[in-house]
Amino acid sequence: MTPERERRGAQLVAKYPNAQSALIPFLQACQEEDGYVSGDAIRDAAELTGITPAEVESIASFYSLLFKEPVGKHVIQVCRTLSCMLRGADELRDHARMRLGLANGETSADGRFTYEEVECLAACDRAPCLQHNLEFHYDVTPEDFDRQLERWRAEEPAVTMPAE
Amino acid sequence: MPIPKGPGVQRSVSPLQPSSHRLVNVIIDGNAVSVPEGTLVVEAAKALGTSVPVYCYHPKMDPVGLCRICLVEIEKMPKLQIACSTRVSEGMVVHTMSERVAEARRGVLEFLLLNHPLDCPICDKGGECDLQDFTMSYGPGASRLNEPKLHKPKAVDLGPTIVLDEERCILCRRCTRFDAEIAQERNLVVVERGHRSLIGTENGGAYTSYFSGNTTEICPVGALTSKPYRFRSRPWDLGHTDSICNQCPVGCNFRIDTRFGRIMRTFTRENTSVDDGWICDRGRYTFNYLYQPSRLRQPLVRRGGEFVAASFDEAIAASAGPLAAAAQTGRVGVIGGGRLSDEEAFSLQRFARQVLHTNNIDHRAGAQRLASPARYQARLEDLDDASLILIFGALTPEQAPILDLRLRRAVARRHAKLLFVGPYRPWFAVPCNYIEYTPGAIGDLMNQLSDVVHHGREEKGDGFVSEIANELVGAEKIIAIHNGRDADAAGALDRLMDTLHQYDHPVGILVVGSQANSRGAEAAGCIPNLSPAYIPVDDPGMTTHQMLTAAAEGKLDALFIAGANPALTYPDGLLVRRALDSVPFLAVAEQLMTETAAVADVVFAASSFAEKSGHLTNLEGRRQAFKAAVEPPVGVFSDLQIFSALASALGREGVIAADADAAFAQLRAAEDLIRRARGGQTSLPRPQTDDVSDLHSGDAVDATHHTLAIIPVPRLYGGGGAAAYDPGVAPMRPEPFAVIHPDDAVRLGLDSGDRVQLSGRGGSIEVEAKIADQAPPGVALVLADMPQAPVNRLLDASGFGSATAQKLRAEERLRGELGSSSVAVGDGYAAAGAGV
Repeated sequence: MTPERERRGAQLVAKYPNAQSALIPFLQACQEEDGYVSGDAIRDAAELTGITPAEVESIASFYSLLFKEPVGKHVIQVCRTLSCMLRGADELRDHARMRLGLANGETSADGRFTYEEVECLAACDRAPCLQHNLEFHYDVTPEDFDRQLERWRAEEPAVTMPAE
Repeated sequence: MPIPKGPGVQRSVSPLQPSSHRLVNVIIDGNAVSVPEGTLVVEAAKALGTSVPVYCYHPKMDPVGLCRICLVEIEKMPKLQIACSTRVSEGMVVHTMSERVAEARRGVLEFLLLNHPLDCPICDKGGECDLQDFTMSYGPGASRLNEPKLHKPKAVDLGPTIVLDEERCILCRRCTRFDAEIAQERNLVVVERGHRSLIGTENGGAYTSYFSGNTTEICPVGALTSKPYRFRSRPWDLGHTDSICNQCPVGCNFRIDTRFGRIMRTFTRENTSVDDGWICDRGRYTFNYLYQPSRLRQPLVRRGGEFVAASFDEAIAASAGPLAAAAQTGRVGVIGGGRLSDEEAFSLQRFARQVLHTNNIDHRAGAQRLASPARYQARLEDLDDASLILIFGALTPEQAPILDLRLRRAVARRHAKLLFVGPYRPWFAVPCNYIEYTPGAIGDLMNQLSDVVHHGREEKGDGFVSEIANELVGAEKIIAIHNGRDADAAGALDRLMDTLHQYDHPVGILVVGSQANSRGAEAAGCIPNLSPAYIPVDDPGMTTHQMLTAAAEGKLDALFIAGANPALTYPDGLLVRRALDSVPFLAVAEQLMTETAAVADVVFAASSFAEKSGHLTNLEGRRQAFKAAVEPPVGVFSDLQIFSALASALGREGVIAADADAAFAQLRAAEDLIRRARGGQTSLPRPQTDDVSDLHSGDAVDATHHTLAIIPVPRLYGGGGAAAYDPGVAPMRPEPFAVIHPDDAVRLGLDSGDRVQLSGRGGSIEVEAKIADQAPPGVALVLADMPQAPVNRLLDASGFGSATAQKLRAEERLRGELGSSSVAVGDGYAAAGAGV
C-alpha cells in the first residue's frame, strides 16, 4: 500500500465503528485515483478491512459502478432487466451497440466511450433507461440515443467516470 | 486456595442447534413428533423419516434460504415457507406433500433448470445428483423455454483438484459457505451479480484449500467435480468398502470406491465424533501411489550389490539366516509399527520379543517420543466446547487437518482462545496468540505455569507467565495439543494439568503422532520398555536412537524395518546413514522403494491399507476397523504374512498369526489380561526416551554470521509416507523451501525466491528462500521430510540443528541442475527418492 493510500484508508476506517464499513468508500477512493479498481486496490482493501482479497472481489464485482478495468470518459450503461426489456430495451441495446461499435463491456480505442449492459438501474417507472456517467436518461428511444450521442461526442462530460 | 474463575467464555448459539431443550409438538404430514423448540422444520421432518428436498441447506452449515426448493405449507401461514430456515413451534402443522407444495417445487425446478445444460450423460455427478434426482421426483417433465440458454465458462480449472462447470452451477453457495464457515478460509466466493454470478477466487487464482475435495461432495449438482475422478466411473458401477484414512493420526472414516478391482475415489463416511463428515485432500487423493512404478510388486534381494527380483520364499530364506544369527547374539533390532495396523504392530513386537528374543523394538522412526498422554486423554469432540486450546510443537493444519477444522470452529464460532507456544510464528486459519519459546525451554515454562496457578496470583513469575496462567485459570475447559517430541515438556504439561484438574478445570491432552498409527503401535508394545498395553518389561531394549547408534558403531548385526522410512524421517540423518550403511544385514518391508528400502539387503513388497483388513488407533485412542477394498498385486504380501513366514523360517511356526482376525484376537487377549491386572491404575507408564540433552551431537558450529539454527516444519503434502509418491497429490506438493527472517535475509543478501544452500553436519540441501517474520531471527524453518531436500542432513537426534546458509548464484544453480557440481554427502538417498 502506498503511504498516501494507507493514510486515506485510516481516515475512512476511523469514520465507522467497524473497519469493514470502510470497504466501499475505500474502493471508490482507489478508483478515483487509478481510474478503476486494480488488483492492488483489492489486496489493499483486504488488508485494510481484515477480510480476504476474494471477499473484496466478491463485493467489488457486485457493483456496476466499480470498474475492474480502466474505462472511457463517457460510460454508457443500458439497463437490461425485466421492466426495461418489456419496454424496448433490447432494441435500444442493439442500436447502442451498433452506433458505438462496441460490444458489452468494451471501451472504444480512443478511450472516450465505454458501453455496458447492466442490471436494474431502479428507474422501472420510466423504462427503458440508461445511465451516462452519473446522469440518468429515461424513456430512451433509439432516436433519443442518437441525439444524446451527438452531444456526448461534441463535448467533454461535466462529470467524468469514475466519479467520487 | 480456590482459584477465582474468570467470567467464562461467551458462546454464541449455533443457528443449527435448537435454542432450548423444551420439546414442542409438531405435526408433519399427519404424523406427530416432539422435537426441541427451535428445530428447523427440515430437521423435524427428517426425524419422522420425511425427506424435504434441499440444495442450499446443509446440516453442517448455517441455513441461508437461497434455493427455495424446500418450500412447505404451514397451517396459519398464508404463504409457503422454506423448511430449511423456519423453526418449529408448539402446535405447528406442516404439509410437505400438498398440491401447493408440489406446484412450488415444479416452479423452482423449472427455474433451476432454465439455463442448466442438461449434459447429464457426460457429467460425473450423473447418478448421484440432487438436481437429477429431484427433477425426476418433483420436477416438470419439459421446459417451456424457447430462448437460447445462457452460456457460462465450462471446465474451469479451479485449482489442483477441482474442475468447475459454471453452467451446471445452481448458485446454492454450499461450496463458498463451506470455505467460509467450515474451513474459515474465505477464498472461494461468488463474484459478479444476478444472472452473471459465478463461483470464483480472487483474480481467478487457484483454489488450494486442504479441504477442497469436500466441495465436490457437497455440490448438489455437477458443477464442482474432482480432477482425479473425472470421467473415471459411474456411481452405480462402484463397489464400496468402509475404510479408515491412514494419512494422519486423526483416523477419518472414509469409503473406498472401486471398479474392476481398482480404487477410483474415496468418499467421506461421516463419524461425527472423529471427522464430522469431512476428509482432507491428502487423505482423499493419496491412493494412486498404488499404481505407480515406484510401488514394490515383488520381493527384492541384493546380489552382488544389485537388487534382483526374488520369490517370497527366496526373500524369506535370504533373511532367515542373518536374522537367526543376529538373534543368537542379541545384536538385532526392529524398527516400525507406526504405519502398520494395530494387529501388525502387535505381531511385529511379538516377532521381536518371541522370535528374535530381543526388546530392541521401536516404532519411533522420527523425532517423536510419545504418542499418548500419560493421563487426561482428550477426545476430538472435547475441542468443541474447549474455552482454551493450548498448542505446543504441533502444527495442526499441516499434521492433522481434520482436527484443525474442529479447532477452527471452536475459535471462530465458539470464541475459544488459541494459544501457540513454540519457536516460530505458526500459521493458523483462525486468530492465534503466539508466545515465542525455544523448544527445550517449554518444559520449564509448564513448570512455572504450574507454580503460578498453584500459588495463585500473588506469586507472579515473568510478566507473560502470569498472563498465561491467568488465561488458564480463567478458562472453563482446557485442551492441550502437542506432538510428543519433547518428553520433558509433556511430563511438565501432565503436572500442569494435574494442578488445573485439582481446581476443577476440565482438562484434556491430545498428542498428534507423526505417523497414522503411532498411538496404536505404542499401545501394541512397539516400544523397548513396554509390552502391549503399556506393561513395563524387565529388561528394556534399545530405542531407535540406540539401535541406530549401535548399528553405526558396528554393534548390531541385523536390522529389520517394517513400514518405516528412517532414512528420510529420522532427525539425525548422518547417524541413520552410517547405521544403514554399517549394519551387515538390513531387511525392509515396504510398499514403495523408499530411501530406506533402497539401501536394504532384502526388501519385502508389503500390501497397502486398501489391500488388507485390520484396525487403526487414532490420536484419541479410538480403535477403528478398516476392510480390504482391493486385492494386492501378485508378489505382494501383507506385513502379517511376512512376519509370520519369517517366524516359521526361524523355527517359531505359529507364533505370529498370518491373518488379521487371528492376530487381532491375540492382541485382544493380551489387552484383556493386562486390563484385569492393572485394575484402577489411571496413569500410563511412559515409553523409554533418550535424554534430549545427550542427543545434541555437540559438533562445533562455526560461529560465523552465516550460521542459522534449523527447525524442521511439517507440511501437509510435504512428504513422509506415501503422499510423496502419489500423482494424485503431486500438483499440490510444495517445492522445498526455508523461511528466513527479514533481518537474516539482509545479512545473507537473500531475496524471496533465491536458491540457498544450507550445509550442516550431515551434508547440504538446496532450498528456495522465503523471507518472512514467521521465522525468528537466526532461524531457518525448513520443510521436513522432503525427499529432494532431506532436512535431516542438517539435524541431530534432538530434531534440531544448524547450518551455514549460502546464496546460490545462477551458474552454481545451473551446475547443480546439470549434476556436475560436488555432490553433497548422502545424495544417494535423495536420488532414490527423486526418481519416483
